[in-house]
Amino acid sequence: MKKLEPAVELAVQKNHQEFRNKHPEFVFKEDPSVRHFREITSVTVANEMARETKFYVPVVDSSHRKYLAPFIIKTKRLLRKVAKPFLKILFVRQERMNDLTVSLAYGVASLEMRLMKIEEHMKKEVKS
Amino acid sequence: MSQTPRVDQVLPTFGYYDAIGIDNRSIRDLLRSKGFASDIFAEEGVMPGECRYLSEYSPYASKGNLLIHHFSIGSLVPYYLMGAASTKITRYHNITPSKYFPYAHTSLAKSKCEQGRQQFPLIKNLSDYYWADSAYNAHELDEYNFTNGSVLPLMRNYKKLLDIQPCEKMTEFLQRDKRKTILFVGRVVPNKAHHDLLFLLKQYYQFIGKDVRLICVGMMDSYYGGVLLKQLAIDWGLRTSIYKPFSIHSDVIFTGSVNDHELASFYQHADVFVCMSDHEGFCVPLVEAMNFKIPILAHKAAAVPETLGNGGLLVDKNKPTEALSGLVSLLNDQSEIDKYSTLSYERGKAFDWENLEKQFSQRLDSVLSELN
Repeated sequence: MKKLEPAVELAVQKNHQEFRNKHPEFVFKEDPSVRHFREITSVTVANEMARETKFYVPVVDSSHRKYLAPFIIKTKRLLRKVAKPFLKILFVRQERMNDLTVSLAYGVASLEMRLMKIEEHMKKEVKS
Repeated sequence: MSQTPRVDQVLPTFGYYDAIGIDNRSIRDLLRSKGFASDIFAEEGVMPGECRYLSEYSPYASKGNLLIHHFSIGSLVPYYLMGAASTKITRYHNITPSKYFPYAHTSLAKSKCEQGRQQFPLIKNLSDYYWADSAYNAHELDEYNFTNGSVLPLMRNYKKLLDIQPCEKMTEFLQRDKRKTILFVGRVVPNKAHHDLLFLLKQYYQFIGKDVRLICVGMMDSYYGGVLLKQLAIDWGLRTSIYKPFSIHSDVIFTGSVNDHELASFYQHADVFVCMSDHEGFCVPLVEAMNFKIPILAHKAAAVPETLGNGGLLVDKNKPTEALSGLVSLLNDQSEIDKYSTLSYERGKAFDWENLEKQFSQRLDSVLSELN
């Protein structure tokens, strides 16, 4: 390979440096974040698929909905907070009532069984 | 006797003339000639008789069939493949780093490339084997512990280009200008570093002489080529032609997309092929130039040194003087021209169709033997 004259070599080096400094649009820098790959799990795949296939599912959202929805949710939360002490009393009463109902149902069922046994015994006695 | 398996190929976008498209078609034709049923399936670029729509692959996605997945960009294809029971081979063509998509209009391509890089772990879980275009590409896959891999160069019958009749009109145009021709073939995009080509030409004009012109063949990015490079050429006083009709007095000609006949004319009239690319997964034009016995000067970057081998002059990107002195030698020193023409042609033989066919058959047979 033919060697250039030292003066030409120096000038070319200088021009090259000037070119790089004057035209940063031709210097492409690595984006370090791109080389960092995340682990792909089933959740990541599902999320990515959902994102990629978003265009298949048309999003139906009327204009009033986005303003009204937060208000409804906040009201619901407030009502639940206010009613909580009263609801607690109601739940205790309900629990007691449930206990009573269960024991009553047990009593009725055992009475019925006892009556059935008495009935069978009486039938046998009548036959004999 | 067991039934012959199908060997199909899937990819996100099929391009008839692009490097991956040529690889697809060559593999398909080779497989068909060997008696395999084979088709190409893609999400985009469906072409009657050439490429079918991806969802049509479903009936063949059964165990016992082979599927070659061409991976070069992020897409939905890996998700489709998750449901396919066929044995999968990933053919990795490399993904262009996203730093080469800095413009607003390339943001979609940028995000697709980033997505592709993020899909590596998914591809690793999906594929049973991988075939990379070059050792450079294979090395990237090794970083993610891919196993069962091998290197298979891009499949193409380069000799077919030699049989193509050159375009008469273009040949006449090229002959009218007696200046020597520096040629580069590749899309006009940032990673192909056309700005370095312009810089080299400018230095040649300034210190050596004005007896050369630069011809850049390939589709142009509207902003990088049409605005930035054009402005750079104007700043440096280089006369530029973008698209037809080209001016005979132009120092730089950007041809845009050309057909095979025009491409043959450019190769036939090139005095030196200069590749200043920063990123290449294989670089098909280098092998094309080798077949036309053109002396080659190239940047030592990505897969270029591997493809070029000892078939050309490799220069350091950070030493512009090396590139200039190399260019001067390859244009003016007859002994160097003869030496590098021969070396270039000899290196091209490594990519002869018979060689590639043999390599492909070996890899396919090893996969099939493991399958049985």
